[in-house]
Order: sequence, then structure tokens, then C-alpha cells
Amino acid sequence: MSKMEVVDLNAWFGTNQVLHGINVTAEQGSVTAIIGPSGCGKSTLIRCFNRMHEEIRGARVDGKVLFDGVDIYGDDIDPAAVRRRIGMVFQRANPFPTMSILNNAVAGLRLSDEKVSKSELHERGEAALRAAGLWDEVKDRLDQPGARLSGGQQQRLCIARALAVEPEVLLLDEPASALDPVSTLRIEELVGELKDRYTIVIVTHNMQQAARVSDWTLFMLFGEVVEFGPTTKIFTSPDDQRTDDYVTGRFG
Amino acid sequence: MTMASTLEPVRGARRAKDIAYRVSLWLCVAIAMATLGVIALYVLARGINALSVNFFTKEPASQLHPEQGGIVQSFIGTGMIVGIAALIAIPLGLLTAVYLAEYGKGRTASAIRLVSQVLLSTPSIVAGAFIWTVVVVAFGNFSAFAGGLALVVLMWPIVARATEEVLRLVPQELREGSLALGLPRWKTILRVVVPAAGAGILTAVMLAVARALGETAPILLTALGNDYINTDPLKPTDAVPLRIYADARTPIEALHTIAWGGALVLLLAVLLLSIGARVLSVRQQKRLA
Repeated sequence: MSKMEVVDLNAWFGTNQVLHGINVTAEQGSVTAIIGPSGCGKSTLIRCFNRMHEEIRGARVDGKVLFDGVDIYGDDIDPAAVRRRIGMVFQRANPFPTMSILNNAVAGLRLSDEKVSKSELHERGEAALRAAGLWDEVKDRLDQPGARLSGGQQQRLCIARALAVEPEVLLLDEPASALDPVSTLRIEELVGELKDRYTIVIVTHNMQQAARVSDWTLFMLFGEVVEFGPTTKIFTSPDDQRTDDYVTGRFG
Repeated sequence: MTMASTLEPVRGARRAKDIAYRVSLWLCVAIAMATLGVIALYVLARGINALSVNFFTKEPASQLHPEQGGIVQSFIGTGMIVGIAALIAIPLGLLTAVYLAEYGKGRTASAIRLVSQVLLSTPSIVAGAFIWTVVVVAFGNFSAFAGGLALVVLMWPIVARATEEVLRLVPQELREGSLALGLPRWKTILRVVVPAAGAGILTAVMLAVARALGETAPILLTALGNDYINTDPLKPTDAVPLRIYADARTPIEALHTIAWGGALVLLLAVLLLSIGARVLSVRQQKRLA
């Protein structure tokens, strides 16, 4: 069974339908990339994976998203519980401006359970910062504001923050699109390190990035799936002419 | 037309117009600032002589030697009335703001916004008359509590609307970052959005307090005034603006001086609050940028 499975998913903003009958899976221990030109619905789709889509006023979803076989859009499912199991990192790094580096890393823990001891927070904060490859750079200044880090460090802090909640799936919505090449490389290496322990879904409009980091690739156009398959196949011998045109840079 | 001609320096009529506009803008600023300066200096000149230890520590003396007395009962009363008002209006205003900025949509929110907008522009004497009718008349006496309630009517919409604006300035990304950690909405608001807006909210509160400090009409009809120290919130109570009003209406020169002294202290308090609010809001903008 796939870790996550999207079945016949449609999504709207108000009356404007932006996703049409999406079907895709994400396998345990692998990286699935979602690619396509701007406005094709990549971000909307990944936001449907942990019910963040519905946080936008007027947004609506129809269809199923199965997590270990359970529909996260089912009745009586708490979106907050979904998001604790399926973490997310956004395009623009968004550390909490009033919190220190350490408190940013453990924000999910600290705020969901106010009784967690300081030593445990420190321990789990360190583990998360190590997993996000940030520990060595910040271990001497954990009390400083998280917003004082560089852009790339802030983004890894956000990854640490997502990891600290110990999710099973990690959603990355263009995590490196606002970063310089060195920071981007760092994030890509991180994705490689994390994929053994997590199921990762990454949105990118950088095709080379998708080719470098992912095992599976979904190519979208105008809110529809054009092709979904192993990354090597999508980039070397796709079935659909439009996929070939896109990955070879003829449009988009 | 060649390229060179478009790059010629600005001259003639266009330059004259530019200068004229600049000068008139500066003039407008200068007139506004000068007015403010004149008022402040005049109050300072007239009121500075009233300030003495007695002024801050004694109740009014006999009208034969008013300069030996003070208006300590007014300071205590103002503290009590504004304190009562703040205690009620600030939580109420903050809750309203959170509702409007984070939850409110549709008719209920529009209705609340309309009501607070109307209250914002209501003459303050109306607030006083309203509380006079429903509290003073009903309970049979003037009191600090009634005065506080009248000020709540003025403070609540200021706190609510200003805080709503500040909450809206908090980037949506912060809310999403928190929600994506599996934190419920109420916790996201309480622990992420409100702290991020912290200094801005404090600014809104300080401005509301500054406004309440100087209000006269609403407490005139509700707190009434008192020549003696009163610490019972259910009894008639003095306040600085009331004392200014009462003293200014007498024909006694020395009492006029005391009134100017009260005005000076109020002016300074409001100035300090406004400067504090300004400093905090500049800091806030830097932090969210």
C-alpha cells in the first residue's frame, strides 16, 4: 500500500476549479516531485495533502486523499491531527519572529503540549536541528531570534520545525525557489538524507531539481495530471509528447 | 525629437511649479506644527507655576488661598476611572479584534464593524448621557464606575479597530506555518499571531488610554467630580479634566492657574503615551519587515 494516495481529487477557489481529477501516489521512503509550469496547480495539489488548501477563504476540495489507507478528508477527521502526521515546509521561509532559534525548532511540540519539560524540548530541538543539518551552525546561539538567520538557514530551521513534530510525511512546497544555489544544494542534499525516514513530496518548477532529488515525478498542466511515473522515465522516455516538450525545455 | 532633448534639465514653468508645490506643502506642515507648538507652549507657560508638591499631594484648599491646595483627588480619580475603563475596554476590544481579523466574515462581522465605526465617531457626550441614563439614574448615584463605563464606550472601538488593523498586518505565512505544525487555530492566534503583533497591539491600547485620559464630557455626566479624595468606585469621583472644567469656570485667578497646571499634566501624559506608541509601532514595523 502506498503511504499516500490521491484519488479523483478536484479543488476549487470559489467557483474556479484548479484541480481536475488528480490521481497520484507517494511511496514510503521515496521522494515524489510535482513539476509543471507556473499556475498549473502544483502548490494547490500539495496543499491538499495535509488539508492546508482549505485554510484559504473560499477554497474547497472534493475527492479522497488516503494516508495509510485512511481518507484525511473523512468525517470527524481533525485537520490539526492530519498536519501533525503530514508536515509541510513553504516556499518562503516563515520562522516565527517572536521566537528564538530553539523555540522555533520545537514550536510544534511546545505549543501543542505546554507541559513538555525544558530538557526534553532541548533534546528534541537538537535532534530536529541536526536532522535539518543546521545544528553545527546554530548550536552556540540557540537563544537568538530565528529571523536573524540567513535565508537558507531560515528554511532549514523551518524544516527542523516540521521534523520536530515527528511527522511521517514531509511536504515541501518549492522549498528552495527563494534561495541561492549553495543553499539550494544544501536543501537538496537534505532531501536525500531524509527520504529513508520520511515519505517526501516536493513541488518544484526547477526540472533539474526534480531530476536530481526525486524517485517519482508527476507532471501537471492546467490542473490535470499529464503523466506520473519513475523520474528516470519521465525525464528520458516519457509516454506523453507534452511531458517530453516540457522536460526538454520547449515550453514552460 | 532627439535623445538629448529629452534629457535636458528641468527649467522654466515646470521647475517653478515644482517649487511652488514644495513650498506650499512645507507651509501646510509648518502651520500645523506651529499651532501645536503654540498650544503646548502656552499651556506650559500658564501651567508651570501651578506645579508644586502641594499640587500633587493635597486636596483643594479654601477658595481664599487656593494656591496652597492641590488636586491630588483628581489624579487618583482619573487613575481609578481610566483604570476601570481600561480593565473592561482592553479585553473586550482585543477579543473583538481577534474575532474580526481571524474569524469574522459575513453579516455578523460587518455589523460589528459598523457599530464600532459609529461608536468611533459618536460625540463623547452621548456616551456620557447613555451611561447616565442606564447606570447613574438606575443606581441612583454618580460614581467612578459609571465614569469608567462611559469611557469604555469610547475606548472599546479604538482598541478593537486599531488592533484589527495590526492583526491583519501579520503575514498569512506565519498562520500557515503554525497551522501546518498541527496547531489548532485558537493556539495559532494566541501564541503566534498575537505575539507577532504585540507591539502594535500595545500601541492601540496606549492610544485608547491617551484618548480616555483627556475625555471630559462622558465623565462629567457620570463621575460628577469631588473636592475630596475618594477611593470607593461606587461614589462620585474627581478627575483631572473635570477639575480643569470646574476651576476654569470660577472667577478666581489662582484656580485658573491650577486648571492650567492640570492641563499641562494631562498634555504631558498624553504626549508620553503617544510617543511611546509611536516608538513601539516603528519597532514593530522593523520586526515584521
